[in-house]
Amino acid sequence: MAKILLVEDNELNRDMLSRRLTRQGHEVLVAHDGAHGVEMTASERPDLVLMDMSLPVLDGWEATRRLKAAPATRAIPIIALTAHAMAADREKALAAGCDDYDTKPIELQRLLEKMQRLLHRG
Amino acid sequence: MKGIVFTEFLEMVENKFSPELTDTIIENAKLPSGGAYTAVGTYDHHELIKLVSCLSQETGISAAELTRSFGVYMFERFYVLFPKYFEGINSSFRFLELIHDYIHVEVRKLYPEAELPSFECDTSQPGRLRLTYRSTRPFAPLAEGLIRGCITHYKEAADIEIEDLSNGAGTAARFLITRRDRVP
Amino acid sequence: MSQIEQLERRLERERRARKAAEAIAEEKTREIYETNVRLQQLNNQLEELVRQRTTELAAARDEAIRASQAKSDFLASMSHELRTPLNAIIGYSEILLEEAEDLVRPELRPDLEKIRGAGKHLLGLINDILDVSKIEAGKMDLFLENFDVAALLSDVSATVQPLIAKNSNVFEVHCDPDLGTAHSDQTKVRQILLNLLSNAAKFTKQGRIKLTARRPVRGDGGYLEFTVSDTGIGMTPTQVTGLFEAFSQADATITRNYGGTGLGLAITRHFCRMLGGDVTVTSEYGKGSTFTITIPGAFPKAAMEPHPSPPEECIAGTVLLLEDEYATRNALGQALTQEGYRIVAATSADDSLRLAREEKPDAIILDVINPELDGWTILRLLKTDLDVWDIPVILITALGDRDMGFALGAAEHLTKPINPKELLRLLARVKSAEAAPDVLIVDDDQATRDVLRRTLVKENWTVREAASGTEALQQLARATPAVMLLDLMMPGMDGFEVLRAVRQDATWRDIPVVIVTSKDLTTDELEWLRGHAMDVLQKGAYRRTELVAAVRAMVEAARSTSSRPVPT
Repeated sequence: MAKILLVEDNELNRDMLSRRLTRQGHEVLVAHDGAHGVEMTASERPDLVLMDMSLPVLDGWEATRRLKAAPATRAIPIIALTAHAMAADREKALAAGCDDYDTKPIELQRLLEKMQRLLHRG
Repeated sequence: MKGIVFTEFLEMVENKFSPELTDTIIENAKLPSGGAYTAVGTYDHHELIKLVSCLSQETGISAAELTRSFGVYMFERFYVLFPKYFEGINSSFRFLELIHDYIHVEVRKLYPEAELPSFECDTSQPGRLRLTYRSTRPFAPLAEGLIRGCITHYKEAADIEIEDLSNGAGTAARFLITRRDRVP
Repeated sequence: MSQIEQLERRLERERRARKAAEAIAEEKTREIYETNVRLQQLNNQLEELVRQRTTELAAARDEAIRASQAKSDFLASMSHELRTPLNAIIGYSEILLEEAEDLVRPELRPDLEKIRGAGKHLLGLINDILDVSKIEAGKMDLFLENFDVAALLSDVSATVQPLIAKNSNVFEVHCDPDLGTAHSDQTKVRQILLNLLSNAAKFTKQGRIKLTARRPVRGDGGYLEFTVSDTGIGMTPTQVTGLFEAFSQADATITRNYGGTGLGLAITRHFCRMLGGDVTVTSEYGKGSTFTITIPGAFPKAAMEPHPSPPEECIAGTVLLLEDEYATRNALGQALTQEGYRIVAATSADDSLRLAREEKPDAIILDVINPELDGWTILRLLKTDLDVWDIPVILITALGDRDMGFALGAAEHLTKPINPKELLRLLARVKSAEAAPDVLIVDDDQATRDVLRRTLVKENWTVREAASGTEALQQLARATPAVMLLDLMMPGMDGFEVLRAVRQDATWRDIPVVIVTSKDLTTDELEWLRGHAMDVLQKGAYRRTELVAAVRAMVEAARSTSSRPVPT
């Protein structure tokens, strides 16, 4: 039962994922773009951020970099959601500071496991 | 026929016989050109036949024999006048092969209208050359002379068998040249 | 009087001839002038054309680059455009499934499963098609990294588990304990394994699916071997051929019953090959199939180089190879490289001369049959060039591609009249340690034999003579000489016949042969040789290994005697 921030610009993806996570018992907040995502992380202090990488205004990598740079938000775990399974994207996400990554299409079980690992870490 | 053949012929007559004889045969031949030949000009080959015929009458030597001697003479003159065609060649066969494939090709570049005889060579057997001469003009004996001149020039020894292919017209002949000495 | 008349007439003729010549000269001059003007015009036109053409080409090139970029962009965006709605279909059907469970409406489940299943299937098809498009556009890249093989395998196994269980299959995994790390494209290896495993799962019911992994060879040149075997429906031999071709699924009934695009295996094989490996299959109809994948443990960079040079210390010698036919050059180059020779390749006459001068190789191999290369002329040029005349030359011709056999010509060549110094210098190199090495002179000309004999005897060579090819063979049979001087143009059995006989005989094969011909190879002989050499050279066929051995022998001979003082 954690507070999850989902940063995702695609309406359908946002809807699907937030509903499924809510059903799991989590409190789900949403942001529509990278800048919004950074703001909300700072103001809401979620337990975990699910960050889509390709976002408008500010992309996921830059948003992650900023969050990890700021002392207030540094400790909040971020899972990157990448559209491609390309190794290059994976590397890039981890290099930006993401704690883990997952690929779309989302397989809920797989994502939940990753989330649990990070939520129980701290 | 190119003027050079005429000028060389008249010079040969001057040297081997005399200037007077040269003048005589020119007057006797009653030539359209009047015997005023320049090497770079072009004249009717019949004039040469006429000149040879007059020379034959004056000297008692057959026209064929005269033409042959002229051929031998011409070969050495070619050597003096056009040394570039002889570069790198040291056998008669090689030179004779080149007449068709190289020399005549070069001549045509400068004189595209030149009517040149064909000298086709067959060298399928080492030490033997089968040369087929074909022309619109009756100068097979001239060709024979050139061939002999060539062989002599390269200090070779060879037997020449001649086959007339034109029923005495002298416009086509086959020369079978067999080296008597060792092919180096 | 008449003499004066004669002279007057002659003078008149000369004058007329001179004027005629002048007129001709003037006309020719005019022609030349006009031709020059035309030439200049044409030249200007040509330059203009070239300018235009260059501009056009630059534009075309830019266009091509743009088109290629457009293709990449298209593939990337298509990828995204196609997958997004599909993901929504799959995702929402999953949400509905969950909510149906919450609402305890189990009867909704089957329909929703169908939607989800169809969506996933469609996604698989789209992924395959996009992969094939990328491959065909040449846009499929490799991303090389180090990864743990065992970890990859357990990830793959976990992913494929539900699929295997669906058909009530048993899944077995046998991995070598020490698979270590690999340096390759992890994503592609995963995709390959998933493709094969899901196929196995698809075509097997209540059977056994086995995944094995070994690393038979480690280190450089090492590779990984994976096998995926099943006890499924198997394939007939007909179905196996064309199995890896795109768009051909084993047959129409398969598609109907089992679905699929027929692309998966084509992609799998392409990926295997991109990684430097390959995939093979054995199958028995009704019994099952086994797919074997081999992938280099470390992506092979060395495979790119055509003829990697052996390390500096190990070079046995440098060989200049003039051969313009790619396959021959490659085969020969490889054979020689394996022996430790460094290969310098030339494909034209100019190349070979320049390279011979620059590189001073230990031996030169010339193709003499190829008319384009004119090996004979190159040979003559090499032999008359002061810088390179003493490099041993081996004349070869390749005899048909299948056997890659080679006919071996003589290594050395002298032109007559023979310069005694040259001859001795040459022979010094093939002299063995014997006190009075013996040479066999084969020439039908007595005078030549005498001259050679005199020269050689003075230098303590023992001289034997043969006046014909037949006699030469007799002499050879009597005793093997240290070197043979062979005249090419002999009546009866000519030099080439002798050469062929010598090269075909085990005891005589290695005798260094110095060919003697007349001064200039561009005479009758050359023409004759050109026409006849093909015939003769073809009669003797030598395998690559024999040729290499001959090269080695010649190079060693050249090397070992080069330091000996040259007799004068």
